[in-house]
Amino acid sequence: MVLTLVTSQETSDRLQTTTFNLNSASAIYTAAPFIDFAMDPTETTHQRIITIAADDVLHIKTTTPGHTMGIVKGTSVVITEITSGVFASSTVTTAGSNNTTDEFNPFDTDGDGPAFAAAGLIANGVVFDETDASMKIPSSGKYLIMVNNLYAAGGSTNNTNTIRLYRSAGSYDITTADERLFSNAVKIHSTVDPTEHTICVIEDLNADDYLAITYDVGAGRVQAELGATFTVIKLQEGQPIAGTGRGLGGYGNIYASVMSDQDSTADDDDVNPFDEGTLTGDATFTTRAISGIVFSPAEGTFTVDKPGLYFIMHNPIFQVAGNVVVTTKILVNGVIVSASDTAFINNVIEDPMNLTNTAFVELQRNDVVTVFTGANTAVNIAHSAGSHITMFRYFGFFRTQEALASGLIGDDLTINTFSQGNLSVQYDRNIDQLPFKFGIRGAGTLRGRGTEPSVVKLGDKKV
Amino acid sequence: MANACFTYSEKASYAYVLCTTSSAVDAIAGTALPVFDSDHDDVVFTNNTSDDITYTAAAGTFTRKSRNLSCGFNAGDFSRNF
Repeated sequence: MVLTLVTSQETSDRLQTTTFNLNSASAIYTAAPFIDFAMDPTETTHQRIITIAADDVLHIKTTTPGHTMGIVKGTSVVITEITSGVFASSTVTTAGSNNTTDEFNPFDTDGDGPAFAAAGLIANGVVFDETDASMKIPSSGKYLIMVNNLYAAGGSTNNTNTIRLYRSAGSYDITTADERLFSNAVKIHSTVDPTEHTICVIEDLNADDYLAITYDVGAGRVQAELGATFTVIKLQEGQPIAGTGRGLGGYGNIYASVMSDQDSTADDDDVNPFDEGTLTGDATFTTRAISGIVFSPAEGTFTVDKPGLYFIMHNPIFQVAGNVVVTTKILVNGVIVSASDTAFINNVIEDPMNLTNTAFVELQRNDVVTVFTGANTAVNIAHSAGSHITMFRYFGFFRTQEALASGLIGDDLTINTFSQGNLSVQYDRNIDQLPFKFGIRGAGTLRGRGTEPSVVKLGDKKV
Repeated sequence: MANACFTYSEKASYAYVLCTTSSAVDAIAGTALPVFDSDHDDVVFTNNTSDDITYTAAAGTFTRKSRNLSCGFNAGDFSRNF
Protein backbone atom coordinates (compact mmCIF):
# COMPACT_ATOMS: atom_id res chain seq x y z
CA MET A 1 0.00 0.00 0.00
CA VAL A 2 1.23 3.44 -0.93
CA LEU A 3 0.22 6.65 0.84
CA THR A 4 1.08 9.87 -0.97
CA LEU A 5 0.51 12.41 1.77
CA VAL A 6 0.35 16.13 1.06
CA THR A 7 -0.12 18.12 4.24
CA SER A 8 -0.12 21.64 5.55
CA GLN A 9 1.04 22.81 8.97
CA GLU A 10 -1.10 25.63 10.35
CA THR A 11 1.16 26.92 13.07
CA SER A 12 4.67 26.22 14.26
CA ASP A 13 7.19 23.90 12.67
CA ARG A 14 6.56 20.38 13.83
CA LEU A 15 6.87 16.70 13.14
CA GLN A 16 3.82 15.11 11.57
CA THR A 17 3.45 11.51 12.70
CA THR A 18 1.73 9.11 10.32
CA THR A 19 0.82 5.54 11.27
CA PHE A 20 -0.72 2.45 9.73
CA ASN A 21 -2.67 0.24 12.13
CA LEU A 22 -4.58 -2.99 11.65
CA ASN A 23 -7.66 -3.22 13.86
CA SER A 24 -6.78 -2.01 17.35
CA ALA A 25 -3.25 -3.34 17.32
CA SER A 26 -0.14 -1.23 17.63
CA ALA A 27 1.13 0.67 14.63
CA ILE A 28 2.78 -1.45 11.98
CA TYR A 29 4.22 1.61 10.29
CA THR A 30 5.28 4.91 11.84
CA ALA A 31 7.01 7.85 10.21
CA ALA A 32 7.47 11.41 11.41
CA PRO A 33 8.78 13.86 8.81
CA PHE A 34 9.29 17.48 9.74
CA ILE A 35 7.00 20.11 8.24
CA ASP A 36 7.98 23.78 8.28
CA PHE A 37 4.77 25.79 8.30
CA ALA A 38 6.43 28.47 6.21
CA MET A 39 7.28 25.90 3.54
CA ASP A 40 4.10 23.90 3.44
CA PRO A 41 2.26 22.02 2.06
CA THR A 42 4.78 19.24 1.79
CA GLU A 43 4.53 15.83 0.18
CA THR A 44 5.80 12.70 1.86
CA THR A 45 5.34 9.12 0.70
CA HIS A 46 4.69 6.23 3.07
CA GLN A 47 4.53 2.61 2.03
CA ARG A 48 4.97 -0.94 3.17
CA ILE A 49 3.54 -4.40 2.54
CA ILE A 50 0.79 -5.51 4.90
CA THR A 51 -0.87 -8.88 5.37
CA ILE A 52 -4.60 -8.35 5.67
CA ALA A 53 -7.03 -11.06 6.69
CA ALA A 54 -10.75 -11.05 6.06
CA ASP A 55 -12.58 -8.52 8.25
CA ASP A 56 -9.37 -6.71 9.16
CA VAL A 57 -9.74 -2.93 9.40
CA LEU A 58 -6.88 -0.75 8.20
CA HIS A 59 -6.43 2.65 9.83
CA ILE A 60 -4.24 5.36 8.29
CA LYS A 61 -3.79 8.21 10.77
CA THR A 62 -1.76 11.35 11.15
CA THR A 63 -1.21 14.06 13.73
CA THR A 64 1.07 16.92 14.68
CA PRO A 65 1.32 16.93 18.45
CA GLY A 66 0.31 20.18 20.09
CA HIS A 67 -0.59 21.91 16.85
CA THR A 68 -2.89 21.67 13.85
CA MET A 69 -2.52 20.46 10.30
CA GLY A 70 -4.55 19.85 7.16
CA ILE A 71 -4.88 17.31 4.37
CA VAL A 72 -4.09 18.79 0.97
CA LYS A 73 -5.31 18.09 -2.54
CA GLY A 74 -3.27 15.33 -4.15
CA THR A 75 -3.16 13.12 -1.08
CA SER A 76 -3.94 9.56 -2.10
CA VAL A 77 -3.69 5.96 -1.03
CA VAL A 78 -3.39 2.99 -3.37
CA ILE A 79 -3.92 -0.49 -1.95
CA THR A 80 -3.33 -3.38 -4.37
CA GLU A 81 -2.81 -7.05 -3.83
CA ILE A 82 0.63 -8.56 -4.43
CA THR A 83 -0.32 -11.22 -6.88
CA SER A 84 3.06 -12.86 -7.52
CA GLY A 85 3.59 -13.99 -3.93
CA VAL A 86 7.23 -12.85 -4.16
CA PHE A 87 8.12 -9.76 -2.13
CA ALA A 88 9.91 -8.19 0.81
CA SER A 89 9.36 -4.97 2.69
CA SER A 90 11.59 -3.73 5.50
CA THR A 91 10.66 -0.69 7.58
CA VAL A 92 13.06 1.13 9.88
CA THR A 93 11.61 1.07 13.38
CA THR A 94 14.53 2.75 15.14
CA ALA A 95 16.45 5.49 13.36
CA GLY A 96 20.12 5.12 12.64
CA SER A 97 22.81 7.47 13.87
CA ASN A 98 25.39 7.04 11.14
CA ASN A 99 28.12 9.63 10.98
CA THR A 100 30.19 9.26 7.88
CA THR A 101 31.01 11.28 4.82
CA ASP A 102 31.61 8.12 2.83
CA GLU A 103 28.97 6.50 0.68
CA PHE A 104 27.25 3.94 2.90
CA ASN A 105 24.24 1.68 3.15
CA PRO A 106 21.71 3.45 5.40
CA PHE A 107 19.72 0.26 6.07
CA ASP A 108 22.75 -1.68 7.31
CA THR A 109 22.11 -2.45 10.98
CA ASP A 110 25.77 -2.77 11.87
CA GLY A 111 27.35 -0.13 14.08
CA ASP A 112 25.31 3.06 14.03
CA GLY A 113 22.76 1.69 11.60
CA PRO A 114 19.02 1.61 12.14
CA ALA A 115 17.01 -1.24 13.62
CA PHE A 116 14.19 -3.27 12.17
CA ALA A 117 11.73 -4.73 14.68
CA ALA A 118 9.93 -7.89 13.63
CA ALA A 119 6.75 -5.90 13.05
CA GLY A 120 8.56 -3.88 10.41
CA LEU A 121 9.65 -6.89 8.37
CA ILE A 122 7.66 -8.96 5.93
CA ALA A 123 8.96 -11.15 3.14
CA ASN A 124 8.25 -14.14 0.97
CA GLY A 125 10.76 -15.28 -1.62
CA VAL A 126 12.83 -12.11 -1.58
CA VAL A 127 15.34 -12.23 1.29
CA PHE A 128 16.23 -9.12 3.26
CA ASP A 129 19.55 -9.48 5.03
CA GLU A 130 19.91 -6.98 7.87
CA THR A 131 23.65 -7.52 8.11
CA ASP A 132 24.34 -6.09 4.69
CA ALA A 133 20.87 -4.56 4.19
CA SER A 134 20.41 -6.12 0.80
CA MET A 135 17.47 -7.69 -0.96
CA LYS A 136 18.27 -11.03 -2.59
CA ILE A 137 16.16 -11.89 -5.63
CA PRO A 138 14.90 -15.50 -5.79
CA SER A 139 13.98 -15.78 -9.47
CA SER A 140 14.29 -13.86 -12.69
CA GLY A 141 11.61 -11.40 -13.71
CA LYS A 142 10.45 -7.82 -13.47
CA TYR A 143 10.52 -6.30 -10.03
CA LEU A 144 8.95 -3.15 -8.64
CA ILE A 145 11.41 -1.48 -6.29
CA MET A 146 10.06 1.25 -4.05
CA VAL A 147 11.95 3.05 -1.31
CA ASN A 148 10.54 5.94 0.68
CA ASN A 149 13.77 7.37 1.98
CA LEU A 150 13.05 9.16 5.22
CA TYR A 151 16.36 10.61 6.27
CA ALA A 152 17.80 13.21 8.61
CA ALA A 153 21.05 15.05 9.00
CA GLY A 154 21.61 14.00 12.57
CA GLY A 155 23.53 17.23 12.89
CA SER A 156 23.83 20.53 11.10
CA THR A 157 24.35 19.18 7.60
CA ASN A 158 23.13 21.26 4.69
CA ASN A 159 24.16 19.39 1.60
CA THR A 160 23.02 17.13 -1.20
CA ASN A 161 22.24 13.53 -0.40
CA THR A 162 22.92 11.33 -3.41
CA ILE A 163 20.74 8.24 -3.12
CA ARG A 164 21.81 5.33 -5.28
CA LEU A 165 20.30 1.96 -6.12
CA TYR A 166 22.70 -0.89 -6.89
CA ARG A 167 22.32 -4.34 -8.29
CA SER A 168 25.02 -6.93 -7.83
CA ALA A 169 24.94 -10.36 -9.43
CA GLY A 170 25.63 -13.23 -7.10
CA SER A 171 27.14 -11.30 -4.23
CA TYR A 172 26.60 -8.18 -2.23
CA ASP A 173 28.79 -5.34 -3.41
CA ILE A 174 27.97 -1.65 -3.46
CA THR A 175 31.26 -0.31 -4.66
CA THR A 176 31.15 -1.12 -8.35
CA ALA A 177 29.95 1.79 -10.39
CA ASP A 178 28.81 -0.33 -13.29
CA GLU A 179 26.36 -2.08 -10.98
CA ARG A 180 24.66 1.19 -10.20
CA LEU A 181 21.11 1.23 -11.53
CA PHE A 182 20.53 4.91 -10.96
CA SER A 183 21.02 7.79 -8.57
CA ASN A 184 18.94 10.69 -7.32
CA ALA A 185 20.48 13.78 -5.73
CA VAL A 186 18.20 15.57 -3.26
CA LYS A 187 18.67 18.15 -0.53
CA ILE A 188 19.38 17.43 3.08
CA HIS A 189 18.98 20.43 5.36
CA SER A 190 19.05 20.21 9.11
CA THR A 191 16.29 22.79 9.59
CA VAL A 192 13.66 20.77 7.75
CA ASP A 193 14.59 17.19 8.48
CA PRO A 194 13.55 14.40 8.64
CA THR A 195 12.51 14.69 5.03
CA GLU A 196 11.46 12.11 2.47
CA HIS A 197 12.48 11.14 -1.06
CA THR A 198 10.78 8.39 -3.04
CA ILE A 199 12.31 5.94 -5.47
CA CYS A 200 9.95 3.82 -7.55
CA VAL A 201 11.36 1.85 -10.46
CA ILE A 202 10.84 -1.43 -12.32
CA GLU A 203 13.96 -3.46 -13.05
CA ASP A 204 14.64 -6.67 -14.96
CA LEU A 205 16.45 -8.85 -12.43
CA ASN A 206 17.97 -12.30 -12.32
CA ALA A 207 17.93 -14.97 -9.66
CA ASP A 208 20.55 -14.30 -6.96
CA ASP A 209 20.80 -10.61 -7.80
CA TYR A 210 21.26 -8.39 -4.76
CA LEU A 211 19.76 -4.91 -4.42
CA ALA A 212 21.04 -2.24 -2.07
CA ILE A 213 20.57 1.46 -1.39
CA THR A 214 23.34 3.89 -0.49
CA TYR A 215 23.45 7.46 0.75
CA ASP A 216 26.31 9.80 0.01
CA VAL A 217 26.48 13.36 1.38
CA GLY A 218 30.16 14.00 0.81
CA ALA A 219 30.28 16.27 3.84
CA GLY A 220 28.33 16.26 7.09
CA ARG A 221 26.21 13.24 7.92
CA VAL A 222 22.93 11.56 7.14
CA GLN A 223 20.94 8.66 8.58
CA ALA A 224 17.85 6.60 7.82
CA GLU A 225 14.88 7.68 9.89
CA LEU A 226 11.83 6.03 11.34
CA GLY A 227 9.54 4.80 8.57
CA ALA A 228 12.13 4.50 5.80
CA THR A 229 11.06 1.38 3.92
CA PHE A 230 12.79 -0.74 1.30
CA THR A 231 10.22 -2.71 -0.70
CA VAL A 232 10.75 -5.19 -3.54
CA ILE A 233 7.82 -6.84 -5.32
CA LYS A 234 7.97 -9.23 -8.23
CA LEU A 235 5.45 -8.36 -10.91
CA GLN A 236 3.15 -11.22 -11.67
CA GLU A 237 3.57 -10.93 -15.44
CA GLY A 238 0.34 -12.63 -16.38
CA GLN A 239 0.49 -15.73 -14.25
CA PRO A 240 -2.26 -16.91 -11.88
CA ILE A 241 -2.31 -15.25 -8.49
CA ALA A 242 0.06 -17.14 -6.24
CA GLY A 243 -1.57 -19.27 -3.60
CA THR A 244 -5.13 -18.38 -4.47
CA GLY A 245 -5.96 -20.21 -7.66
CA ARG A 246 -7.44 -16.97 -8.89
CA GLY A 247 -6.46 -15.22 -12.03
CA LEU A 248 -6.10 -16.11 -15.64
CA GLY A 249 -3.64 -13.46 -16.62
CA GLY A 250 -3.72 -9.72 -16.71
CA TYR A 251 -1.64 -8.80 -13.69
CA GLY A 252 1.60 -6.94 -14.05
CA ASN A 253 2.60 -7.87 -17.59
CA ILE A 254 2.38 -4.31 -18.90
CA TYR A 255 4.68 -1.68 -17.45
CA ALA A 256 6.99 1.24 -18.11
CA SER A 257 9.69 2.78 -16.00
CA VAL A 258 11.57 5.72 -17.48
CA MET A 259 14.13 8.11 -16.06
CA SER A 260 15.48 11.36 -17.45
CA ASP A 261 19.24 11.50 -17.86
CA GLN A 262 19.50 15.27 -18.06
CA ASP A 263 18.17 18.30 -16.27
CA SER A 264 15.24 19.99 -17.93
CA THR A 265 15.23 23.58 -18.98
CA ALA A 266 13.77 26.00 -16.47
CA ASP A 267 10.36 27.41 -17.26
CA ASP A 268 7.48 29.04 -15.47
CA ASP A 269 4.93 27.47 -17.80
CA ASP A 270 3.72 23.88 -17.55
CA VAL A 271 6.55 21.47 -18.35
CA ASN A 272 6.31 17.88 -19.54
CA PRO A 273 9.54 16.43 -18.15
CA PHE A 274 9.41 13.43 -20.50
CA ASP A 275 9.28 15.56 -23.62
CA GLU A 276 12.83 15.47 -24.97
CA GLY A 277 12.43 19.05 -26.04
CA THR A 278 12.50 20.16 -22.43
CA LEU A 279 15.84 18.57 -21.61
CA THR A 280 19.17 20.34 -21.65
CA GLY A 281 22.23 18.83 -23.27
CA ASP A 282 21.73 15.40 -24.77
CA ALA A 283 18.00 14.83 -24.69
CA THR A 284 18.11 11.26 -23.45
CA PHE A 285 16.07 9.09 -21.18
CA THR A 286 16.84 5.71 -19.68
CA THR A 287 14.06 3.20 -20.03
CA ARG A 288 14.51 0.87 -17.07
CA ALA A 289 11.80 -1.53 -18.23
CA ILE A 290 8.93 -1.32 -20.68
CA SER A 291 6.34 -3.69 -22.12
CA GLY A 292 2.95 -3.00 -23.63
CA ILE A 293 3.34 0.76 -23.27
CA VAL A 294 4.82 3.01 -25.94
CA PHE A 295 6.97 5.84 -24.63
CA SER A 296 7.39 8.70 -27.09
CA PRO A 297 10.17 11.09 -26.04
CA ALA A 298 9.26 13.36 -28.94
CA GLU A 299 5.80 13.86 -27.48
CA GLY A 300 6.45 13.05 -23.84
CA THR A 301 3.63 10.52 -23.89
CA PHE A 302 2.98 7.00 -22.65
CA THR A 303 0.40 5.12 -24.72
CA VAL A 304 -1.04 1.91 -23.31
CA ASP A 305 -1.72 -1.02 -25.60
CA LYS A 306 -4.25 -2.81 -23.42
CA PRO A 307 -7.15 -1.80 -21.18
CA GLY A 308 -6.97 -2.25 -17.45
CA LEU A 309 -6.38 -0.70 -14.06
CA TYR A 310 -3.05 1.09 -13.96
CA PHE A 311 -0.86 2.29 -11.12
CA ILE A 312 1.10 5.45 -12.00
CA MET A 313 3.74 7.14 -9.86
CA HIS A 314 5.59 10.23 -10.99
CA ASN A 315 8.72 11.19 -9.04
CA PRO A 316 10.07 14.50 -10.30
CA ILE A 317 13.02 16.18 -8.61
CA PHE A 318 12.75 19.95 -8.74
CA GLN A 319 15.16 22.80 -8.79
CA VAL A 320 13.65 26.25 -8.56
CA ALA A 321 14.86 29.78 -9.07
CA GLY A 322 12.86 31.15 -6.16
CA ASN A 323 10.16 30.27 -3.69
CA VAL A 324 7.25 28.80 -5.55
CA VAL A 325 4.22 26.56 -5.34
CA VAL A 326 4.71 23.64 -7.69
CA THR A 327 1.80 21.88 -9.34
CA THR A 328 2.23 18.25 -10.35
CA LYS A 329 -0.38 16.69 -12.59
CA ILE A 330 -1.05 13.27 -14.12
CA LEU A 331 -3.27 13.39 -17.19
CA VAL A 332 -5.05 10.79 -19.31
CA ASN A 333 -5.88 11.96 -22.83
CA GLY A 334 -5.25 15.50 -21.67
CA VAL A 335 -7.60 15.32 -18.70
CA ILE A 336 -6.18 15.64 -15.19
CA VAL A 337 -6.74 12.52 -13.10
CA SER A 338 -4.53 13.46 -10.17
CA ALA A 339 -3.23 16.89 -9.22
CA SER A 340 -1.16 17.95 -6.26
CA ASP A 341 -1.09 21.68 -6.57
CA THR A 342 0.24 23.10 -3.36
CA ALA A 343 3.70 21.82 -2.72
CA PHE A 344 5.92 24.68 -1.72
CA ILE A 345 9.62 24.69 -2.44
CA ASN A 346 12.05 27.01 -0.82
CA ASN A 347 14.92 27.25 -3.23
CA VAL A 348 17.54 27.88 -0.59
CA ILE A 349 16.64 25.19 1.91
CA GLU A 350 14.68 22.54 0.10
CA ASP A 351 15.74 22.05 -3.50
CA PRO A 352 16.56 19.77 -5.22
CA MET A 353 13.41 18.21 -3.84
CA ASN A 354 11.19 15.28 -4.78
CA LEU A 355 7.41 15.61 -4.90
CA THR A 356 5.60 12.36 -5.64
CA ASN A 357 2.27 12.24 -7.44
CA THR A 358 0.33 8.98 -7.66
CA ALA A 359 -2.74 7.81 -9.56
CA PHE A 360 -4.68 4.59 -9.95
CA VAL A 361 -6.86 4.75 -13.03
CA GLU A 362 -8.80 2.67 -15.50
CA LEU A 363 -7.32 3.04 -18.97
CA GLN A 364 -8.55 1.94 -22.36
CA ARG A 365 -6.49 0.77 -25.29
CA ASN A 366 -4.53 3.65 -26.85
CA ASP A 367 -5.13 5.97 -23.91
CA VAL A 368 -2.31 8.45 -23.51
CA VAL A 369 -0.73 9.27 -20.15
CA THR A 370 1.25 12.47 -19.66
CA VAL A 371 2.61 14.31 -16.66
CA PHE A 372 3.08 18.02 -16.26
CA THR A 373 4.46 20.31 -13.62
CA GLY A 374 3.99 24.02 -13.30
CA ALA A 375 4.59 27.02 -11.11
CA ASN A 376 2.05 29.35 -9.53
CA THR A 377 4.12 32.38 -10.30
CA ALA A 378 6.73 33.53 -12.76
CA VAL A 379 9.50 31.50 -11.17
CA ASN A 380 11.39 29.06 -13.28
CA ILE A 381 11.38 25.44 -12.23
CA ALA A 382 13.52 22.66 -13.66
CA HIS A 383 13.62 18.90 -13.31
CA SER A 384 16.83 17.27 -12.19
CA ALA A 385 18.34 14.27 -13.87
CA GLY A 386 16.98 11.18 -12.19
CA SER A 387 13.38 12.34 -12.24
CA HIS A 388 11.36 9.26 -13.11
CA ILE A 389 7.97 7.78 -13.78
CA THR A 390 6.80 4.23 -13.24
CA MET A 391 3.50 2.72 -14.25
CA PHE A 392 2.17 -0.79 -14.53
CA ARG A 393 -1.10 -2.49 -15.26
CA TYR A 394 -2.30 -3.89 -12.00
CA PHE A 395 -5.28 -5.67 -13.46
CA GLY A 396 -6.22 -6.21 -17.06
CA PHE A 397 -8.69 -7.77 -19.36
CA PHE A 398 -9.79 -10.79 -17.39
CA ARG A 399 -10.38 -13.64 -19.77
CA THR A 400 -12.55 -16.66 -19.41
CA GLN A 401 -10.62 -19.87 -19.12
CA GLU A 402 -8.86 -21.28 -22.14
CA ALA A 403 -10.65 -24.23 -23.78
CA LEU A 404 -10.60 -26.06 -27.07
CA ALA A 405 -13.53 -25.65 -29.41
CA SER A 406 -15.94 -28.55 -29.20
CA GLY A 407 -16.32 -28.64 -32.95
CA LEU A 408 -18.76 -27.25 -35.44
CA ILE A 409 -20.67 -30.51 -35.91
CA GLY A 410 -21.74 -32.53 -32.87
CA ASP A 411 -21.91 -36.32 -32.54
CA ASP A 412 -25.61 -36.18 -33.35
CA LEU A 413 -24.80 -34.12 -36.43
CA THR A 414 -26.10 -30.93 -34.82
CA ILE A 415 -24.41 -27.86 -36.29
CA ASN A 416 -23.14 -25.83 -33.34
CA THR A 417 -22.28 -22.63 -35.14
CA PHE A 418 -23.18 -20.33 -32.27
CA SER A 419 -22.61 -22.52 -29.23
CA GLN A 420 -20.45 -21.37 -26.37
CA GLY A 421 -18.31 -24.48 -26.67
CA ASN A 422 -17.59 -23.89 -30.32
CA LEU A 423 -17.84 -20.22 -31.15
CA SER A 424 -17.19 -18.40 -27.88
CA VAL A 425 -14.04 -20.27 -26.92
CA GLN A 426 -12.35 -19.09 -30.09
CA TYR A 427 -12.18 -15.57 -28.67
CA ASP A 428 -10.44 -13.93 -25.72
CA ARG A 429 -13.41 -12.62 -23.79
CA ASN A 430 -14.74 -11.77 -20.38
CA ILE A 431 -18.27 -12.99 -21.02
CA ASP A 432 -19.64 -16.51 -21.40
CA GLN A 433 -21.22 -16.19 -24.79
CA LEU A 434 -20.34 -14.04 -27.75
CA PRO A 435 -22.97 -12.18 -29.76
CA PHE A 436 -24.23 -14.39 -32.58
CA LYS A 437 -22.82 -11.90 -35.08
CA PHE A 438 -19.38 -13.33 -34.45
CA GLY A 439 -20.53 -16.66 -35.85
CA ILE A 440 -21.77 -15.30 -39.13
CA ARG A 441 -19.46 -16.13 -42.01
CA GLY A 442 -19.41 -13.44 -44.62
CA ALA A 443 -21.67 -10.46 -44.70
CA GLY A 444 -24.26 -10.31 -41.96
CA THR A 445 -26.84 -8.62 -44.10
CA LEU A 446 -27.67 -8.46 -47.78
CA ARG A 447 -26.26 -4.97 -47.84
CA GLY A 448 -23.02 -6.22 -46.38
CA ARG A 449 -23.23 -3.89 -43.45
CA GLY A 450 -23.90 -4.23 -39.80
CA THR A 451 -21.45 -6.99 -39.10
CA GLU A 452 -19.37 -4.94 -36.75
CA PRO A 453 -20.36 -5.77 -33.17
CA SER A 454 -21.18 -2.65 -31.28
CA VAL A 455 -20.86 -3.96 -27.73
CA VAL A 456 -18.04 -6.45 -27.34
CA LYS A 457 -14.81 -4.63 -27.98
CA LEU A 458 -12.28 -5.68 -25.39
CA GLY A 459 -11.38 -9.07 -26.80
CA ASP A 460 -9.39 -9.67 -29.92
CA LYS A 461 -9.67 -12.69 -32.18
CA LYS A 462 -7.11 -15.28 -31.21
CA VAL A 463 -4.27 -15.75 -33.60
CA MET B 1 -19.00 -23.41 -18.14
CA ALA B 2 -18.87 -21.19 -15.10
CA ASN B 3 -21.04 -18.15 -14.88
CA ALA B 4 -19.22 -14.98 -15.78
CA CYS B 5 -18.96 -11.97 -13.50
CA PHE B 6 -15.99 -10.20 -14.93
CA THR B 7 -15.67 -6.66 -13.78
CA TYR B 8 -12.60 -5.08 -12.28
CA SER B 9 -14.27 -4.50 -8.94
CA GLU B 10 -15.46 -8.08 -8.73
CA LYS B 11 -12.22 -9.76 -9.73
CA ALA B 12 -9.31 -7.71 -8.42
CA SER B 13 -8.61 -6.41 -4.93
CA TYR B 14 -7.82 -2.72 -4.69
CA ALA B 15 -8.66 0.55 -3.05
CA TYR B 16 -7.86 4.04 -4.24
CA VAL B 17 -8.81 7.24 -2.50
CA LEU B 18 -7.77 10.67 -3.78
CA CYS B 19 -8.17 14.04 -2.11
CA THR B 20 -9.52 16.48 -4.71
CA THR B 21 -10.25 19.39 -2.37
CA SER B 22 -8.02 20.24 0.58
CA SER B 23 -9.28 20.22 4.13
CA ALA B 24 -9.18 23.18 6.45
CA VAL B 25 -5.66 23.84 7.69
CA ASP B 26 -6.69 22.95 11.24
CA ALA B 27 -8.58 19.76 10.41
CA ILE B 28 -6.27 17.60 12.48
CA ALA B 29 -4.89 18.60 15.85
CA GLY B 30 -2.89 16.90 18.55
CA THR B 31 -4.81 13.63 18.43
CA ALA B 32 -4.15 11.27 15.57
CA LEU B 33 -7.08 11.23 13.16
CA PRO B 34 -7.76 9.27 9.99
CA VAL B 35 -6.23 10.86 6.91
CA PHE B 36 -9.14 9.87 4.67
CA ASP B 37 -11.96 10.92 6.98
CA SER B 38 -14.64 12.79 5.05
CA ASP B 39 -15.61 14.60 8.25
CA HIS B 40 -12.57 16.87 7.99
CA ASP B 41 -13.79 20.39 7.27
CA ASP B 42 -13.96 21.24 3.57
CA VAL B 43 -12.25 18.07 2.38
CA VAL B 44 -13.45 16.13 -0.67
CA PHE B 45 -12.31 12.60 -1.49
CA THR B 46 -13.05 10.43 -4.49
CA ASN B 47 -12.63 6.69 -4.29
CA ASN B 48 -12.56 3.54 -6.37
CA THR B 49 -12.54 0.26 -4.48
CA SER B 50 -13.10 -3.37 -5.32
CA ASP B 51 -16.02 -5.29 -3.93
CA ASP B 52 -13.95 -6.99 -1.28
CA ILE B 53 -12.59 -3.79 0.26
CA THR B 54 -14.91 -1.32 1.97
CA TYR B 55 -13.79 2.26 2.32
CA THR B 56 -15.78 3.90 5.10
CA ALA B 57 -15.44 7.59 4.40
CA ALA B 58 -16.98 8.75 7.66
CA ALA B 59 -14.33 6.83 9.59
CA GLY B 60 -11.50 6.87 7.09
CA THR B 61 -11.03 3.12 7.38
CA PHE B 62 -10.54 0.25 4.94
CA THR B 63 -12.08 -3.14 5.69
CA ARG B 64 -11.29 -6.29 3.78
CA LYS B 65 -14.25 -8.57 3.31
CA SER B 66 -14.16 -12.22 2.39
CA ARG B 67 -14.96 -12.68 -1.24
CA ASN B 68 -17.53 -15.26 -2.28
CA LEU B 69 -17.31 -15.46 -6.00
CA SER B 70 -19.66 -17.64 -7.96
CA CYS B 71 -17.66 -17.84 -11.11
CA GLY B 72 -15.23 -20.62 -10.48
CA PHE B 73 -12.47 -18.78 -8.64
CA ASN B 74 -11.55 -19.35 -5.05
CA ALA B 75 -13.16 -17.39 -2.30
CA GLY B 76 -10.73 -15.34 -0.29
CA ASP B 77 -11.06 -15.92 3.41
CA PHE B 78 -7.33 -16.32 3.82
CA SER B 79 -4.86 -13.56 4.46
CA ARG B 80 -3.38 -11.69 1.54
CA ASN B 81 -0.54 -9.27 1.08
CA PHE B 82 -1.10 -5.68 -0.04
